Amino acid sequence: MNREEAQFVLQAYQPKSEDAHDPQFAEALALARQDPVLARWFADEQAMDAAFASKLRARSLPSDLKAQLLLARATIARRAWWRQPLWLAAAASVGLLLAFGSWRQRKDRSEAQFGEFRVAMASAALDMSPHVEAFGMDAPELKQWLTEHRGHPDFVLPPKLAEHGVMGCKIVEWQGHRVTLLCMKFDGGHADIFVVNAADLPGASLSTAPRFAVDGPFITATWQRDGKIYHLAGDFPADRLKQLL
Amino acid sequence: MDEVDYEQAVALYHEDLHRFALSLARNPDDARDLTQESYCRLLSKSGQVRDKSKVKSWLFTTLYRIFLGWKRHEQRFPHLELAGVEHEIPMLTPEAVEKMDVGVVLEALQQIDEHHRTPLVLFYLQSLSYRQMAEMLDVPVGTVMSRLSRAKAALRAGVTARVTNTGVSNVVPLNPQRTPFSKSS
Repeated sequence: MNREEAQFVLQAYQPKSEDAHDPQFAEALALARQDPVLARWFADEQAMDAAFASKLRARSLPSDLKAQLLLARATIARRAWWRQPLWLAAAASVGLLLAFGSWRQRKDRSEAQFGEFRVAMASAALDMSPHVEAFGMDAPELKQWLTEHRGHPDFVLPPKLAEHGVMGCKIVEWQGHRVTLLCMKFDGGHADIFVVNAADLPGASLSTAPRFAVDGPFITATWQRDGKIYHLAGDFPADRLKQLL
Repeated sequence: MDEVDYEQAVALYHEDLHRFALSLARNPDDARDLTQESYCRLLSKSGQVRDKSKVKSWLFTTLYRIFLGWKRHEQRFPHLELAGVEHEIPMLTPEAVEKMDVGVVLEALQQIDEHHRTPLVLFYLQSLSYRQMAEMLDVPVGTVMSRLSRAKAALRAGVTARVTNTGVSNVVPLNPQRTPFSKSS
């Protein structure tokens, strides 16, 4: 290896990296120790690299970037365990059970429609592609987003539940009706609240008192208020959910 | 990937990853999207990263591939080769660089074509070794060294041209459009 070849190789050398132990650089580094001209060039090169590197690192970053990245975990992390076969099987069972339930209640068309709604919302709760379309917004931004996307910006959650804030949201369509999905995460748990106009689900026979059920991996609660139906699907214990509602 | 691992991956790498994204995307919004999408994939495909020591290179490689995917989709990136810079390294001292405005350096950097800019930024951020760069870029290690050498020369030529205000740069300018690609909504 001559001086020129050593220069070429050493231009790619990063002293604090694993390059220091890479045999590719050993010969060039040895030559630099023996050749004063090459050694001086190498020292200058490293000083120049350090100067440019410091300029690149001086670039300012968004102050909220880290928080946003950590927030993303709330909506994405759940996919890992829900995609596991056991949970998928459970979800499929829920669908079959609800579908079977719907069949048995064929005479009661309204109740069957509510069953179909629950199946569809369970599916939406499992959907991670993506799970929400917007996240990291404060309350006014959330309402504006829902207004712009023809959701339900005037939704009202029970106070104790509302305290925990909405993590993200999405609009899903069910039988031609728009349903607002509100995603929440707190106390190590996760809940999706679906809001739909009561007129779109006419026979649900709901009241302001939540109606609880167990749907596979979810505890669900459904209630009606001010012309809207709220359907919550979450992984909280039922007792905890009752405290919040 | 558990919560502790993810938090560590964010704490340790998000700054350099975002700087890398900025160097590729050229505008802050797209850079943020690239960074976020990379971490989202880390969460959703964490099974692919069994060795924790590989998380860093996995993130950088993933971000680069997402960028290439967007770029392919948009077809708005003319690739122009550097020309005639390797024999014309201007006289420039580290002290002069340190005194320079950050904007001058970044502007010169952004004028370098992506094939050369990418390894140069990774090199300066000390994000990946040259072997990892070769894997990421899917080129031989010799090509990485060659691109680094030419990119360094181009950067020095670019900042010198700007500082001396000659208006003449031996770096091939790219499309001056500030928005290299549009985000998919």
